[in-house]
Amino acid sequence: MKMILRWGFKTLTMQKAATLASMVGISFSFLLALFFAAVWQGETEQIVAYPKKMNPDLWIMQEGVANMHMASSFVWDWKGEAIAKMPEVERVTGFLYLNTVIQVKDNKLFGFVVGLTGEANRAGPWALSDGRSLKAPDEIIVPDTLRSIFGLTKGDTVQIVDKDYRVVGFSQGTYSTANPVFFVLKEKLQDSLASEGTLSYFLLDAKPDVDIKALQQKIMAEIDNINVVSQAQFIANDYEMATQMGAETILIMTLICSTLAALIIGYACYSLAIKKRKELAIIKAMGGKAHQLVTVVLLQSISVTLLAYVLAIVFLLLLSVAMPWVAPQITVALSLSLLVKPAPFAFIIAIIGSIYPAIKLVRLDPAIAYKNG
Amino acid sequence: MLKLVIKQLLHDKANTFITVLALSASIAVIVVLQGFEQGQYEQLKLASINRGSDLIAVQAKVNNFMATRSVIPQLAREQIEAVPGVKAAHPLTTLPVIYQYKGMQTPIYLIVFDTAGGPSNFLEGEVHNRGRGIVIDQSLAKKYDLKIGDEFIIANFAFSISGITSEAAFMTPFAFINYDGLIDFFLDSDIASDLSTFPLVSFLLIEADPKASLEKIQRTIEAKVPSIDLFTLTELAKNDVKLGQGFYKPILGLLVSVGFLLGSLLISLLMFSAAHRQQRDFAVMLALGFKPRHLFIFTLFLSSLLLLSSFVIGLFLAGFIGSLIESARPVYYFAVFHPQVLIKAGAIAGLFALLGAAAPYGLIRNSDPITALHRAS
Repeated sequence: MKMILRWGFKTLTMQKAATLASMVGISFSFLLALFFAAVWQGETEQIVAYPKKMNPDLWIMQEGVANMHMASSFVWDWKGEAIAKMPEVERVTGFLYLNTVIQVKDNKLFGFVVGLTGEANRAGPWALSDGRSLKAPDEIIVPDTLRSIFGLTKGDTVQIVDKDYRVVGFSQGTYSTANPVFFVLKEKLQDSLASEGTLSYFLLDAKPDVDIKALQQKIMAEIDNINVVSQAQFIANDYEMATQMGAETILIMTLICSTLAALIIGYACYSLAIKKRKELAIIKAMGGKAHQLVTVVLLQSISVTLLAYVLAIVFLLLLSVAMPWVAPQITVALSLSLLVKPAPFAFIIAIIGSIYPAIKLVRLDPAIAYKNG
Repeated sequence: MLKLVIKQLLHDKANTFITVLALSASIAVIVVLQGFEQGQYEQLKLASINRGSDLIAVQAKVNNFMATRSVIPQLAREQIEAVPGVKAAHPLTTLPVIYQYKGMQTPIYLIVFDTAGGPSNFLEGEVHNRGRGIVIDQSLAKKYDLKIGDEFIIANFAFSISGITSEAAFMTPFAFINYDGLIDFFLDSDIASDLSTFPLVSFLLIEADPKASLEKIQRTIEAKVPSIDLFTLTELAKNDVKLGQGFYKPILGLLVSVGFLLGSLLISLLMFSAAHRQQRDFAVMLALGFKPRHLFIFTLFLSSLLLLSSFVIGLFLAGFIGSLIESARPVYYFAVFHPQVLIKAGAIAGLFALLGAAAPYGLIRNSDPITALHRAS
């Protein structure tokens, strides 16, 4: 058995070019599936970037609404003022929110607009890479990624609904394909929405040592037609909304790419077996058992697949480093679970890929194989 | 030459089969991605086209139907209907809402219609333009296991499902209610206190007299009603597709590029391996007087035939995968057999064929007839 295993290993190393080519082919199949999952993960994380950064103790919004992504909420502004007067409350910051089409130069984006109630607002951008905070109703702060995508500069105009806004600042960490976040003062946005007297969400910061759950229940009991959600629940709701469609798509993509990988593995193993038919015939004639040969094919397949998997991870890391230059609009997020989760799947694929070559080996007739070369 | 190629392919049927299968899967990956992208654009296009009117009025400076908020003053309807040549202006309101049920939530595009613009791809049930009926997209019915007659609760207000349609765009299912339902929804639901913030008319579908000039109507309306802009449904559909392209193209383009790279590697690997196995045959052919360019043509024929069959199988494989996903999640639409997808996929398969012929060229050209014949003996 030891000798057969050594033969199996040598077969792989002797045909370095073929083995490497197979490995690269398989690794690209894995890369496609991993990259797809990483992009989805990145987009999902960016969708919750704004609420995560705001990090209030409680979120207050219209009843029936429990998140921000793809949602629409309107609450009378006096409700926020009433809540702010409660003794347990440190601060309440309201803002108007709209998800809509945004015109940037000749391009259209689907984006989220946050209408702030004042300058240097608690609900405003957390980091500016350039420019300043908002001072006038016709000003806007845009995600800094738009500079590299559309060459947007300070003073350029961005259109939201029916109003034009002048770019005065660029915010960091606010871009994703699904929801780039734009900041304006609420006045003009309110005009566009015909929503005077209302805001969309309130961020509530409680005083130290206040029982948040009790405060949440108190607000719900005292103020009609609103929903009060804890920060953790709000993030979870947004995250769920963003991931539920993605999970299925990722699974499908993984299945397609894995099928492809299995076929390449099958082809690679089959090619190796066919090329070394004569040697295999000798091994069989010398008493090599079929199960020993099958083990060799299986081990070859598993080692090539696992190495290809590692190679795919290396490619993915390189790609994620290159993304800001290649496609700045795409957010890629890598996590250990994202990289490790498909590994058992790769192992199964390796086994599936080796089935056909193994069958061929079992059926191999040494005399005929040797005669035909 | 073609005969020789066919003989070559039939000689090792198992090898040919597995090669075609691998190439088909690689093409299917690309076609599925492109079909998904094209499907999204088709859905976006139909979102406005299916509303069916000669012209559509939107809030001034707004130029999309999907993913936007348009608010038209109610007075605009009267002003538009007073324009000569206008038969009627049918109101339409759109509201993004989130449906929550059985611990799941789904964003829905709620379309409120009166006398036109309702569901157009009706599957079962009835459409009512009075009462609390709601027509929902089949993806919602499937996801939440809903059927006609069931309650459909939004913001604690219960609609009754009267029909199932097949309409979605931007990965968001549509649901249709009438203005009766909307008013009840506004008054009876939890959002009653904030009624004034909701748009009552988002769009006006303008039906013109068939004999009237649309251009003249458009000019007159735009002069008389400055609070709105007018578009044909095709223009609005184009704007929505442009919006979709900005959203989908970067990600899907990159994925298709990775898929293309994968396919290129695969065909190169397969053809190189095949040539390596046949090096002795090539050497013999060279010894018999075949020129390297003849052998290039041979490999080009070989890879073209492989790619041709893989292309056909790949398309059907992609179609199968697409319909599998569609049946599981009808909110997605895969336009796998759309002419644009077919042209792009065909061009990619052609490129693969060229690459497949070029990859082993160096190996073939350097095949030494003497060594090969020596080995053969």
